[in-house]
Amino acid sequence: MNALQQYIDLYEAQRTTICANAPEALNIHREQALDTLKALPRLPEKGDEGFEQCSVNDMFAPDFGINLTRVPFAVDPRTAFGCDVPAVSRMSAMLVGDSYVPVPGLEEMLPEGVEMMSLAKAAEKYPDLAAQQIAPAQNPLVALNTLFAQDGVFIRIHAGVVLDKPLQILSVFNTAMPTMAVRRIKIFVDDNAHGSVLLCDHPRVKDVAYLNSRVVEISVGRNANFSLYDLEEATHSTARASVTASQQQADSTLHITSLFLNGGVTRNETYPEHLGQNCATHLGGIVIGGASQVIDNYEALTHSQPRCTSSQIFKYALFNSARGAFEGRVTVQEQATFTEAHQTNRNLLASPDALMHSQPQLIINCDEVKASHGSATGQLDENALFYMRSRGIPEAEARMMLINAFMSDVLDTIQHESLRERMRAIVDRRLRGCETTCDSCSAMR
Amino acid sequence: MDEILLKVDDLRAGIEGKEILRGINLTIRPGEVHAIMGPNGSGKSTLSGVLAGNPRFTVTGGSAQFHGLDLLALAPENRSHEGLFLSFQYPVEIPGVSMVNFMRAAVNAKRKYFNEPALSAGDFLKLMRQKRAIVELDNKLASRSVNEGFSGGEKKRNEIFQMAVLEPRLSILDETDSGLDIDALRVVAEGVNKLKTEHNATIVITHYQRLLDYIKPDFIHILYKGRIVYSGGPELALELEEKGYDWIKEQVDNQDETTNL
Repeated sequence: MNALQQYIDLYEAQRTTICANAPEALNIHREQALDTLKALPRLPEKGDEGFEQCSVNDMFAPDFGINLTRVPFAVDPRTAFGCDVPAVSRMSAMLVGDSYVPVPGLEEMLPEGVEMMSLAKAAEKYPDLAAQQIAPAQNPLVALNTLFAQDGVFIRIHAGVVLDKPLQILSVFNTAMPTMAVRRIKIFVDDNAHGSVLLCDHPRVKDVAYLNSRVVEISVGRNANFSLYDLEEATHSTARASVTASQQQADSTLHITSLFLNGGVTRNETYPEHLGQNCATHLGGIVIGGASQVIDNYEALTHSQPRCTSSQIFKYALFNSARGAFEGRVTVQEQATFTEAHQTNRNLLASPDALMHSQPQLIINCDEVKASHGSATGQLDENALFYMRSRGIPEAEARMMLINAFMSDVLDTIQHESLRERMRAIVDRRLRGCETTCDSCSAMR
Repeated sequence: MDEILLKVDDLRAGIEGKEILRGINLTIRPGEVHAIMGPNGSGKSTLSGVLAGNPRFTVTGGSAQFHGLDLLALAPENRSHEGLFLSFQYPVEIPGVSMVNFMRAAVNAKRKYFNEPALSAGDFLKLMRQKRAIVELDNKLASRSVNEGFSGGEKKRNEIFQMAVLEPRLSILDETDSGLDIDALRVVAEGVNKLKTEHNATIVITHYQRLLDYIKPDFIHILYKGRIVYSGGPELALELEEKGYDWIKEQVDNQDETTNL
């Protein structure tokens, strides 16, 4: 089945409705996205280069409903916020489908110089920023998102503002029928600003098929410091196609830490870009896969400027018949002298049916470079396991402790301390087989 | 005393189909210190591994009774709860697991096994402090990952510290002297001696007589080719120090030849 044609036909039939219910800042890019998609023979399938474990075609093939007329769903934010990670932040908003619903009183809670609003509202206030495209337009996942995106979230941290607690966006589905949400998140961190955002994906209804098309675009100004924490805790009937793209000005730092704790099929692509010298980019990922989950990460980092540093550290623990893929590509261009780039992928296969595909790549076109990459896939250390058991620690507990320990250096990259400890507890609960839904998160308070 | 703590009877075990222990007999009573000596490859570490339940080894015959329990039927963690402790020749480094979490998990697992409530944070820290003093273990090691970056001496002291915390009825010290300088050896041996009571027993596995100057054995057994070929009193260690293992090997090998004829 050709899912691509299905979406092209849908767009062409609904073009007027889509544009009528969306801001101009998003509408102006649709025709180019349409041309991009029309030029493709089909969407990527499993086995295509860069798509070893998941088929984008299969993810988009089912007949999902899209809320193109933007009928508002009944949501009472007072009761709907199960998870506001209270020790960390109360500054949260929900994306219900693609509709922005702030927590009551958010405006008053946001410090001066920090703005969070719907993308539609931002298109009125900051039309140029809302229209700015950072994600690679030729990418099929981005083009599909651009074709249908009607709203999302806009965040801006103004120059010099230091935001010490993360802003949180909780993305939910709560429809009873198969639904696709097209979400666009744009984050602008101005010069010398400092802040972080926590994204949580939690569908609220089980056993309904959902497709989450998400594009996150981040602009980090000169000497600014920004951290994105991305937590996916979805259901087995959810598919996610996500692209995160960033542009950094000189002397800036960007951390992206992703935790994939549950879901059906998830495909995540990351495209960080440097526009000035002395940038630092750190990408971390924790994957815990069970059942027949598929978790596919594609991290393409290009060094185009001198004196920038980057690191990638991705760790997978796969159980049952889960399948994982990691493709990390670090490209150092000829002019990017004095680059320092490190890449690590380590994987634990806890079941004979689990499968991991790992492809760490360095493409270096410059001599003045310090770079390393490595990948290892294996089982838990039997000697360590016996040592712990010989001290009386039961086998199951010892395994949990060892897997937690395996993940700990990625968790250590989370800058915000109370968030780091919360994430550590969530990972531990997930490994113990507990569902780490919003409700369980609040139960841990 | 007539009570028997450990009775090993014709124990046979191996690894990957190769037989290493070929009929071990050993009886240990509370209050006793037994030394097991023998040349390289005689099966000393296999014996300690089999008694502690290392799944790498396969038991092919014989039995081991541990204060009335069928030791070989117990999971390694339950052998520990029942009072068996193995001090590893090569303590394992576990990056990412802190010493304090490791010990808390061990202590509370044992308490759970005996239907006791978990220790409070305060009581646990007090216990750690008391036991650390026995082997002069540095407090700063508590926050580090288990054995990671520990010196050879710190690793062995850490083993005896764990032994002090778990209060075993039978401790097996596998080559505890290897990799230790004379000062560390003294601290470790003093720790072991402090923990000795009339109710517990110790098996000291060693190559050299040196350790036995500090930990005085009541019995010495010589292991060779997977069997205890010679048992005697403490004086045997001195004889070995003087004459080496060759005279024992010769005796045993000659016997084997005779039986083969």
